[in-house]
Amino acid sequence: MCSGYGSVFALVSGSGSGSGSGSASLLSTTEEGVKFRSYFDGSEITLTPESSVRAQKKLASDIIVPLDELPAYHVSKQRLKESVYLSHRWEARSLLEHLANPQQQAMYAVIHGGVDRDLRKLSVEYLSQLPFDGFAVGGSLGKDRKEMANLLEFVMPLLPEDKPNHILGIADMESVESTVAFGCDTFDSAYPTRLARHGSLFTTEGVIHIKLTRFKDDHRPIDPKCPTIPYTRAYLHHLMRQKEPLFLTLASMHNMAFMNNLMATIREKILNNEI
Amino acid sequence: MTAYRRAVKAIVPTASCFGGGRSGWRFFSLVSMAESPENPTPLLVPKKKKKKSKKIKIDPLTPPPPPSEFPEWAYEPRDFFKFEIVYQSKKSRARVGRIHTPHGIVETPGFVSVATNGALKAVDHRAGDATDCQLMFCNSYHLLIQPGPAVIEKAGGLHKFINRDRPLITDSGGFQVFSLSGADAADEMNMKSLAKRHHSKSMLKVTEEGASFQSYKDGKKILLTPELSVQSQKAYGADIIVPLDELLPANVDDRRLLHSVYLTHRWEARSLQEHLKDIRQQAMFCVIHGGMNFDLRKLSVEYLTSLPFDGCAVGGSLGKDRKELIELLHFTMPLIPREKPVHLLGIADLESLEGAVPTGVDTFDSCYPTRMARHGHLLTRQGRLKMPKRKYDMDYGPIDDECTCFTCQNHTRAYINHLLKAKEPVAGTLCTIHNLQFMNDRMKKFRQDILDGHI
Repeated sequence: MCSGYGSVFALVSGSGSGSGSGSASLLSTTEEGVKFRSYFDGSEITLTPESSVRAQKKLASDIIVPLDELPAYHVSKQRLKESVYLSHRWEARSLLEHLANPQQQAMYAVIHGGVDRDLRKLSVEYLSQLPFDGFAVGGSLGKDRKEMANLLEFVMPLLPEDKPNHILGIADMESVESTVAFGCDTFDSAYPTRLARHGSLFTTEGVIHIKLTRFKDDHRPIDPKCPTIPYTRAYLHHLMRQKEPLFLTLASMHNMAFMNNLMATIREKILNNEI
Repeated sequence: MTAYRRAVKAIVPTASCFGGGRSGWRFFSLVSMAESPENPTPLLVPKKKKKKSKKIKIDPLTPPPPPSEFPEWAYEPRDFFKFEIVYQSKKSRARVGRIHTPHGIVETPGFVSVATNGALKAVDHRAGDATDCQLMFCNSYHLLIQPGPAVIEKAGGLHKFINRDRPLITDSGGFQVFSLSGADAADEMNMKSLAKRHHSKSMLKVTEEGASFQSYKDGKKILLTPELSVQSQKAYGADIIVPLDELLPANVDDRRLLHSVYLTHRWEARSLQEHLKDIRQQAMFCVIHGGMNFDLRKLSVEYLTSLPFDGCAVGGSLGKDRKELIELLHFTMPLIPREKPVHLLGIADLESLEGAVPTGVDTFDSCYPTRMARHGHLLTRQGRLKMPKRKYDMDYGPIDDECTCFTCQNHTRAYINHLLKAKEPVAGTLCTIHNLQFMNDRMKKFRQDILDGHI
C-alpha cells in the first residue's frame, strides 16, 4: 500500500504509472505535506503524513507505507539532501501517527537518497533505528538496470537482516534475476500485467509479441515449458487481433502466473543453495 | 486506400504524360501497382482489362430442389444427434427437452450465449461454463475474416481452438454480411454499434451464386456462397451449423420478399447438399423465412421441413415489435413438426421469452444480456438495475440476493459500482458473469414451470 505521494508525483512527472485519465497537477509541497488536484473531479486534495496514514488505517491493508517525497533522477546534490531530510521528518511523523493506533498493520520505511551512496547510507542508518516493521527501497534507483543493480548491491547489505524488505516499482524479469541475490524479499510492478495487455507475453525463452503473424498458426501453449492457462498461442493471437476483451484477461493471467512461477523457482533455487 | 497508394497518388503526374486525356483521379484507377521480380520497386503499369463474366439470368422464382433430390439415407435419424422431448405441456406448445450433441447436452428451453469471435466478451470459458452455459454461438462471419477456417481446422476444430468441450453452434455468416451492409438493415437489427465499427458499406452484391462483400480487416473481396459457408463451418466443426440464407430489412414489398424466399430456399438446399457430402457429426438447422407474410412463412416451413434438416431456426424479419413477433410465432410454430428442435435467432430479452416459450421454441440466442452487462445494466430477480449510480456507492449487498454466480458470491454492489466508475476492465467480466447466470437460471425456471404445469 503506497503512501499516495508516489503515485501523485508519478502522474505529474509521467514517470511510468499514471492512470491515463488526465494528469494530476501537483500544486505545492510544504513542510506540512503536499497539495494536488484530483484527476476525477478537479478538487484540491491535501496529503500530509498524518492524513495519509489515517486513510491507510481506513483501508485496513496489512502493510502500510509512510509519506515520503519523490525527487526526480536529475536533481542537485543539495536538493536531494533536502529531500531526504524532509522525507525522514515525514516518515517519522507517519510512524508516530501509525503507532497511535497500530490496528494490526505493519509499516515499512522507505529508504531514499537517489543514487547518492552517502545519502542512502544515511537514510538506512536513520530509518533502521526507528521501530518500522520492514524496509522498502524507494526513490530513484538509477537510470538503467546496471545502475540499479550496483546501487542495490550497495544498499541491501546495510539493511537489518531480520526485517523484510521490498523493492518499490521494479519487477521485470531481468531486474529480479539480477537483484534477488542481494537479499530482496518482495517486488511490485505494473509491468507484467501492463505488458500483457499490450501483447507481450513472458516465456522461458524470452518475451513473445503475440500479435505477430508468426503466431497465427502456432497451436502450442503460450510457454511449452511453463504451463499457465489452457489456451494456445494461436487463440490468443486471434483474440488480440479481434480486440476481444477476453484477451486482456487471459494475457494478464498468463503473465501473472509466469511471474509467480518464476518467483517459486527462485525460492527453490535459494533453498537448494543455487543462489 | 492504403497509405502507400495515397502517397503515390500525391506524386503521380497528371494525365497528359500518360496520354489519354483523362483527369488524374479517374486515370489512376486504371493503373495498378506491379512488382517485377528484378526490380522490387512497384511500377505503374496499365491494368489488364477484366473480362466481364457473362451474367446468367436466373428466373427469381426458380423452384428449389424437391425432397426427392436428397438421398434417402439422409432422412434417417442420426446416431450422434437427437432431440429428446422430456415433457410436453398440456397447457401450451411449450416442452422441456434435451438436445444430445457430440459435445454434450443442451437443456431446453435454453439460452444460447454469444461468443462472437470464439470468446465471450471479457469472460473466460471456464467462468462462462460455471454459470451453466451450455450451447454457445460463434459467428462464422468474423471467424472467416480472422483467423480463417484454415487456422481453426489446424487447431483441431473450434472446440480445441477455444478450449471448450461443450456444444457449439455456428451461423452461416449471412446475418452479419447482410446486416452490416446498409443503414436500414443495420438499424433494424439494432446492430448500430457494429455498423460503426466496421465498414457499413462493406456489402457489394447478391447474386444467385452468393453474397460478395469486402473483408473489414484487409479490404479483400470475399464471395460467400452456400458451399463456402458450409465448408468453413465444417472446418470449425461446431455441433450445430446453419445454411446460408438471405436477410432483408423489414419494410420490403411482397414481390421482393417472395424472390428472396425463393433464393434463400435454393441457397439452403445447396448448403444442405454440401453438408450431406461430409456430415462429420454435425447437425444442420434450416432457417425459416418469409418476413411477416404468413403465406410465405407457411411456404417456407412446408418446403424446408420436407428436407432432411436436423432442426429449424426461425429467422428473417420478426416483426416491428414484440406483439408482431409473438403473433408470428403463434402462426408459424404449429406448422413445424413437433419432433424437430426449434431455435429463435437473435431474440432473448425477458419479455419476449415469456411470450415465446409457450409457443414451443426450444433455444434462444442473443448478445443482449451480455452486452447490457458490459454497460452496467444488471438483471436481477427484483428487476433491472443500472450502474454506476450514487445510490449503490455504499450498498454492500450482492447484486442479487438469490444469485449463485461468482460475482454475487464474492462481490458487493458497491464494489461493482466502483469498478464501473473507475472503468476497470474486470467490471465487464464480473457483470457479464452475473447476467449469464441470471439468464441460465431464468431458463431453468421456465423448464421447471413447464414441468409443474404452469406454462
